[in-house]
Formats: sequence, C-alpha cells, structure tokens
Amino acid sequence: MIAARTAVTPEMVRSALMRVMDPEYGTLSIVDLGIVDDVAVDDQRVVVTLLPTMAGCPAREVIESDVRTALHTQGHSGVEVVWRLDGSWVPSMLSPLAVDQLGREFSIAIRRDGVLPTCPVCEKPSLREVSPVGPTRCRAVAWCDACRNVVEVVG
Amino acid sequence: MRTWADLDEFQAFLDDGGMVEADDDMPEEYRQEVFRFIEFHANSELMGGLTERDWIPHSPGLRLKQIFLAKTQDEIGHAHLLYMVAADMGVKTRDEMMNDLLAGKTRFHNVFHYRAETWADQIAIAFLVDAAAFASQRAVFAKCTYGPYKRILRRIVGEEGFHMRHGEEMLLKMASGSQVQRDLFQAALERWWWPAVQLFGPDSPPDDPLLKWYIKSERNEVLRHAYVQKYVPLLQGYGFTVPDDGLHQDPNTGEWMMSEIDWAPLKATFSNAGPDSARRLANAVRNHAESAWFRESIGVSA
Repeated sequence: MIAARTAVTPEMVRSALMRVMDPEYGTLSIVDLGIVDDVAVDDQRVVVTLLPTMAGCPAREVIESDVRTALHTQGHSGVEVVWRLDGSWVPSMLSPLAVDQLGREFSIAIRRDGVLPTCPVCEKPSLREVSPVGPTRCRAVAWCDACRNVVEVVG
Repeated sequence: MRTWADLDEFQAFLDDGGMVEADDDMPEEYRQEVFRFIEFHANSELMGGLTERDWIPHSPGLRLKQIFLAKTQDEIGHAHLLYMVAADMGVKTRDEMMNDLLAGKTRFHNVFHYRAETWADQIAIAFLVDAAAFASQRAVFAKCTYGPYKRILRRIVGEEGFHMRHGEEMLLKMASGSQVQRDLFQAALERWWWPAVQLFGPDSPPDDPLLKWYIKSERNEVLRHAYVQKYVPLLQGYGFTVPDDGLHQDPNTGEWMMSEIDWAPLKATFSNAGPDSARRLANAVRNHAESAWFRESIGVSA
C-alpha cells in the first residue's frame, strides 16, 4: 500500500532535528543548542540552514551528515544543508534546557554581556577566567575559587 | 569541609556512593593515589596532543588538517584542565609536574612511547588507541569519587567519543581503498595492536587502591577483554589480520582469546625506555622551551 502523500511542514522537520544530537554532548539536540537557523520546505526539497557556534567548528561535517540521516530516516529526500558563516550565533540562542544541562551535567557556564556567570557547580559568584580558550575555541577556562572546580565558559 | 575518623569510615563513605570534594579532609593515601592518577592522565593528554600536532602539516587535505588541529587543541586543553585540578590537590605544583615530565621522572601512556611512522599509523592510533583510551576513561568516569576530576571527565569522555567517529571514518576510507592503502593499514595494525591492548595495563592487583576507592570502576583485564571482543571482529570484518598467532575463539563461549601478553614492552614504557620515548621527550622539551615566550607574555610559568 502506498501511503497518501502528506505535505511536509517545517514543524515536522524541526521535530526530526530535535533528535540530532551534538556529537560531543550527546544529550543536547542541535535545536536546543540554537544552531538551527531556518527550515524551509517546498514540494521538492527541505533546506536546513545551520549556524555554527564558530565558523571553524570541526564538528560541522558530522552534524551535517547526522541531519541528512535523520531527515532521510523520516522519509525526506532532497535534503539540503546550508551553513551560515557570518558568525552570528550567540549564547542567548541556547534553549533554557540547554543552559540548564550544560551547567548541571557538564559544568559549562554561559557568559552574558561579558560578565562571568556564577559557578555552575556551587552557584557562587567566584569564577575567575584562567585562559580565553581551552579544549575548544568556543569556550574559555575558568577556576572557581569557592568550590575549586574547573569550569568552561561559553560566550 | 568533611573529615573522616579513619580509613574505614572513609571507605564506608565511598562505598555508599559518596563524592570527595577539593576542600574535604581526605586521607593522605587517597590524595596521593588520586593525584598520581590525574598527573598521569594530564601527562598523557599533553604527550598525545604533541603527537597529533606533529601530523597537522602531513594530514592529507584541508578537512583532515582541521580535524587534527581540533584534536590537538582538545588534547592540550584536556591537559590544561587536568593539571589545574592536580595542582590544586597540593601534592605538586604545575611547574613541578611539568619539570618532572620533561625530565622523564613521571609517566605517560604507553602508546605515546612508539613512533607513528606513516599516515596509516595515525589512523590506527585514531581507530584503535583512541578507542582503548576512551574505554578506559569511560570506566574511570563511571564511578569516579573525586568530584573535580569526575566533572572534567564528563566533558573529556564526550570529546573523545567524537574523536572515535573520525577514527572510524578514516579507517573506512583505508579499508575501502586501494591495495596500497590496505597494506599500509595492515602494517600499521601490526605496530599498534599490542600497544593498544596493553594500554589497559597488566591484570589489576587484588588489592588495587584505585579500585577500592572507585577511581577505576573496572579491573584492567575486564576492560581489555571487552575491547578485544569488540575490535577483533571489527578489524576482521574490514579484511585485516590481527597480529596474534594464538588468537582464537573459545569453543564454548565464542569469546576471543589472545595469546599470553608479553608485558616487557609495557614495562619499558613505565621507565620511559620505550622505542620512541627519548625522541618524544626531547620533542616535548624543545616545544616547552620554544613556547616559553608565550607563557611569559601571558604571565604563567607552566
């Protein structure tokens, strides 16, 4: 039996993208990370526009291939993935769920307006930046003088 | 700050799933063992990062250069985080750890005592060695009782998992390539199989304090055995030959059994007397000297 052809909506595509996880932080979807900039759908194609946290992000190819796999699995063909490289991702695009999980699960804090946040481990305002980059270029390294933990800071 | 009356009370705390924090009054034996373990891990990340770095200019194509650049940053970054936590334990300063490493007084992972001779060696390292390191780190993360270390491991394990995907992708390319590529990988496999298997270490002693204190969640031989079960069929599936004449399947359980392991090569790396130890250390010393101007410019010493 051939199923009736239903129109693909951007919402359907977005729900499939909710299952595409960050390759390093497997519990966070790319939607929660705020890197899905746009989803456009017409009769022929699905165009997903992604916004990397940094233009040189080494995870781009893997994320792109995971997006294709997820959409092909959902039955979409003609998938096009476009990366916007104008560097306009900002930490405020992280969903509240992502901010919460990055803090609790990964000890990663989010910096807003250039001000160091409270420590995600002990919640005291005791972070001190140690180096502007660490294991990745999108995160600084900070030390908490109160609970003596190493924290990474996005933004 | 929490204190414990004696080692038995401390052990009961750990057995109950307790987590030790930096300002706790932990028993000295625990502090020393955990410190040594983190120092070893930090040294290994640094020495590993330097190897990855050597291959950035030799990586074929811009994409692989980008991947090796990112992996180098990951490893050196991990060392940076680990040295911070280790130094905070008050056993040695960061300077002392760096000096001891460069003087060959402390250890780093056995796999960084061998030379990566061809690009295929880099692929064998990414596919086999990274996977072994990942399995052993994941087992440390599982129950790790030292909070500041466990929190870093949470991120490290995620990042190493991502490295493994690159290893698999690169191996697939070699396996489906020309005969020359397949021969290159087979030769690399012969150099790296045993070091990868030995990375898990000899069988854990019955009274291993690292197991008792849940720094390790699993015995070395159990992790090694699980690794062999996974990688032997994978490599054979790609059409490669695991370099072990005695390798066979147990007729009853179907498990892969290896020949008896010769531990002499591993023991040699413990005293920094492996085949490539001297060159690697000299390389690290030179790198440290050449980057002195940078550390000076940002006001740090190590």
